[in-house]
Amino acid sequence: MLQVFIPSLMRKLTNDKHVVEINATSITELINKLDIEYPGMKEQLTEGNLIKDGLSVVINDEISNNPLLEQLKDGFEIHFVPTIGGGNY
Amino acid sequence: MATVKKDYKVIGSRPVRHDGVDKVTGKAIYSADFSISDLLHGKVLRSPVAHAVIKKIDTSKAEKLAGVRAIVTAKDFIGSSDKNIETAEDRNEGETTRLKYLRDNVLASDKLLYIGQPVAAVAATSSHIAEEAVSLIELEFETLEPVLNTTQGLNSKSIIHQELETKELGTKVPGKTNLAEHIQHKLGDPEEAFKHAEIIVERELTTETVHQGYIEPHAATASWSNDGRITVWCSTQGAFPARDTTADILGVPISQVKVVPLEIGGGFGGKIPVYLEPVAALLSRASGHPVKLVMSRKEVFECTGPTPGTLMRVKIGADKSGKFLAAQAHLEFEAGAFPGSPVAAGSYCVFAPYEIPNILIDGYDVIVNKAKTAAYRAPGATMAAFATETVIDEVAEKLQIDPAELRLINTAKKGTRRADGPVYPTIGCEEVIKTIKDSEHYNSPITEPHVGRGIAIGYWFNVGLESACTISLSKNGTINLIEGSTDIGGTRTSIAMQAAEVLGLLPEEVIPSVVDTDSIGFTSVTGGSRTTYATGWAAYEAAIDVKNQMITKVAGIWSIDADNVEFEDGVFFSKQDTELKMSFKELASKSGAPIVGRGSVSKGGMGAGGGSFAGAIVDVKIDPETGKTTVLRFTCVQDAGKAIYPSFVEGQMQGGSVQGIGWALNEEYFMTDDGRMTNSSLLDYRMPTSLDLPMIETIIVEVPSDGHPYGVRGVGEANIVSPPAAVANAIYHATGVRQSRLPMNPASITKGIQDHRSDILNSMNC
Amino acid sequence: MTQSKTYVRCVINGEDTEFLCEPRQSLLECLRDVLRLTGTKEGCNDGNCGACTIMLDDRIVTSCLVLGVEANGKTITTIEGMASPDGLHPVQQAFLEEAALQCGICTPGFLIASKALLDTNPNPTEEEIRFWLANNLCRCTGYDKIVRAVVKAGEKIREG
Repeated sequence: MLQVFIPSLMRKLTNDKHVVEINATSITELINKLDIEYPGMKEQLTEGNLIKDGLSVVINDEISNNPLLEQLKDGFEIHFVPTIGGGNY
Repeated sequence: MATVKKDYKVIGSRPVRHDGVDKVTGKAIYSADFSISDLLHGKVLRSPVAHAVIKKIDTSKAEKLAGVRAIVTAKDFIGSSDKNIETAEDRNEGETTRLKYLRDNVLASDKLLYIGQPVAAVAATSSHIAEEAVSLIELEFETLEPVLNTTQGLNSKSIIHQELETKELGTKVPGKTNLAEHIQHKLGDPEEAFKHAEIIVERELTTETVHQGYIEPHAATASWSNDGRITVWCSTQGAFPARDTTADILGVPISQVKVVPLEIGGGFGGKIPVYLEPVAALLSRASGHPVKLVMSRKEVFECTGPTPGTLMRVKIGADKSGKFLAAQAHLEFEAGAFPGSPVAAGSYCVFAPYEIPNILIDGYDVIVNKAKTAAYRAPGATMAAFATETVIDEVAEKLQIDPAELRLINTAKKGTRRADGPVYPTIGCEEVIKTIKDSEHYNSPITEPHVGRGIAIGYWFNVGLESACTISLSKNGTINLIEGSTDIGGTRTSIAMQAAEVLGLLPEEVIPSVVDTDSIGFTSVTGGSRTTYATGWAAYEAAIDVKNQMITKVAGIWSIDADNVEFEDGVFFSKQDTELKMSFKELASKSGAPIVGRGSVSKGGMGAGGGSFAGAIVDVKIDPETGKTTVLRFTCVQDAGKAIYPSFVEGQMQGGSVQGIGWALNEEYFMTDDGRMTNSSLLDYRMPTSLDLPMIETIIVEVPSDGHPYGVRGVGEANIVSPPAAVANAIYHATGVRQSRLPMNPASITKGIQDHRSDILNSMNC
Repeated sequence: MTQSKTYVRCVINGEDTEFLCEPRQSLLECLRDVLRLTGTKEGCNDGNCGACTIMLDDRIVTSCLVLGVEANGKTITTIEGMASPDGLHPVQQAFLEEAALQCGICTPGFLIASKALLDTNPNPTEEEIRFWLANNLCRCTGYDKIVRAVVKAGEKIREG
């Protein structure tokens, strides 16, 4: 089971649930299953087949460069965070 | 991967930096020093108003001036479609900026959005003629109502970008607005948790716009050849990001642009955006000559991105023992004329040093008619820390708990869950606070009147990103190290030292070069406290590659298996036959295919290595009549993971601390009601001089980061985050007046003291 | 339009030098653009940062506030004249050893000013150093290591 943390601005779709458990081995699979249980999540998270602009995926404690290619394992934490842009360094 | 050792041969030493002699003899070439044959000089026409619609740009009179060779406007941009592109500042997370915004900030197309915005540019045979020609360009416009702070931006009917919609994570909120983005992080149930807090402190604070203040103005030379190749020589914090952004703005493939980074006179984030490079290129194409542009100091202040002014509200609730139960922050940051203030970073950092189970953070990126903001050393974090750390000081006072102890009670640790969701890897927050608490400075008595002491803690997440490095072995046993990180503070040496350590060489046996975009693999910005960390890591890997190739070579010479060869203390030897050994130098001298090692890393976005925590202890003396603040003593404590070159780490700590002191006490943009900066000189924009400061004491803490071969944490930025809050707390303890505005200049301090006295008198009269 | 040029003759770094310049050109511009001595830097062009500090006869001046024509008949020392074929001046060496520079853009101005201080006062206190250097702005170092470097250079010079 993956621990999927729902960003606060999307919790209106999950009945205000902050953490949701999903069984998946890839981000794509995760998002599809999330959308089945909480309709509308896929539209929030993706554009076409890619993660939406402005969103980054954190797997455990590291931001992923290529989230769709990652192999997800049991117990992993998945976070969706705003992309930090416009002068972060 | 190396394990972090206590005793290194080179790491932790203090060699003379490789570029040092050139810099103390005036030989180093910075962008304004640069010249090539057949050169023209350029100047820029800039908007005189904060908000207007452009009606007409008439260059005819200017074209007739003797010596003028070309004039360009936004009409001269060609080729690329209006696609989202990644800029240096956004590459970190894949967020994209609309090309139009980028182009408009280089040469305005349809609207004037801030005083100083570039509108047209002239190339002429001398810069004096170019300047005269600029004054002959006629600009017709229709003024609109300007929006000059976040309150106006959020409430005004004057909309700056008609097509802008508020971005909320993955969605866009329909409707015309000046709110470019709303960020939110929520952990637990803060509303409920505040109900159980025995003490709550809530404050509203503001900070004014400040500039990075680098001493070298922007300068760039470009040459657009007849074969379409564009070469740019400039001072930049990232040759590759500058190349990519310049190419996209110009509408040409990136392979057509070569950026040659020259020595750079300070950046602090302000030299990540491109301003002059595309303009120089357009002028070169139009004139058929190379063209050089150099900004004046006035242009630097008025037209390049400062860090935003802010309006913030922070609320913290604690129980009687000092445990923080809930925290809330409302952060409004001015983006400037285009989206992209560092409010997301500020939101990330605002409560970062603490473990708080219930948090709500709302961040707002607000468009205003001012120059587009740019990064300034830990962008966003300093303002946020000013709010949080002064509120915490108040909580400590109300609970009668020592300020350092209160922070220790609530310190973030490995495994602490952050407001944005993920947990921390190994971090040094607790160690930094403990070091402050146990320091001689913190425990020394204060004996004089009107003297106060304040502390604060700050965080910067640091980034990793991409770097490449190649190392070529020379026959005399030295190595040439090629890398692409522009060197603002000695990083070519700290990078060279990491390679030297692997190969058993002295720092002077490594010859580092910072090269152009044709000569090395993609390397991201010199910024984000990533250079010693990530480019150092690439150099480490390239050195390992060289070592392995040499092992293979000597194994061949000895006709043994490479697995049987070891390398230690500069000597290759056979594990099985102690007679078989050869020094590094001797092996290097042997003939054969050249040994070239390669390193290439991609070390992730924000939070690389867990980031760095830094704190400040400051003693100030206030003159109650004039409000003048004298900094009596200052100590900076920072977690460096592992200090590769301690003198440079100390230098970063001291430099960031002093920028923080200037931010705290004097620096601000004085703006008129129509959006004009009135103090755009180094006289009136008051940065600290040597006479304003004591020695800056430094204590380096080393909690190695997970993963990096030497445990390095980037140190460039976190040290600026805590000083303004520490100074504010010190001023409070000296005067009894809480500070809620940056800067805390003599006028605001005396007013605060006077108001405080009247409050006391009034309360006595009741 | 171009102004007609004036002939200027002076001594720069011990060498007889002559150049032509327009009356409106500052000495800083003449050094950098006419004579191609780019070691002296421009940070503000209005006398407030000290990056353009040079010796004009026996005074340290911000060369952006001196006209090129004013240099006629005078003796000028710039950063290019500080080291000799025998080696770096002690203050240059001290700046390197104490890591008193980061980006290096303010360094030529600081070196000229520091040397001028040590030539008049070979054993300055911290306060005297800070006062003397108050017109030289540094944004990178916070001045700490610069002060240490000047103290160290003073010691070296006194040792002889």
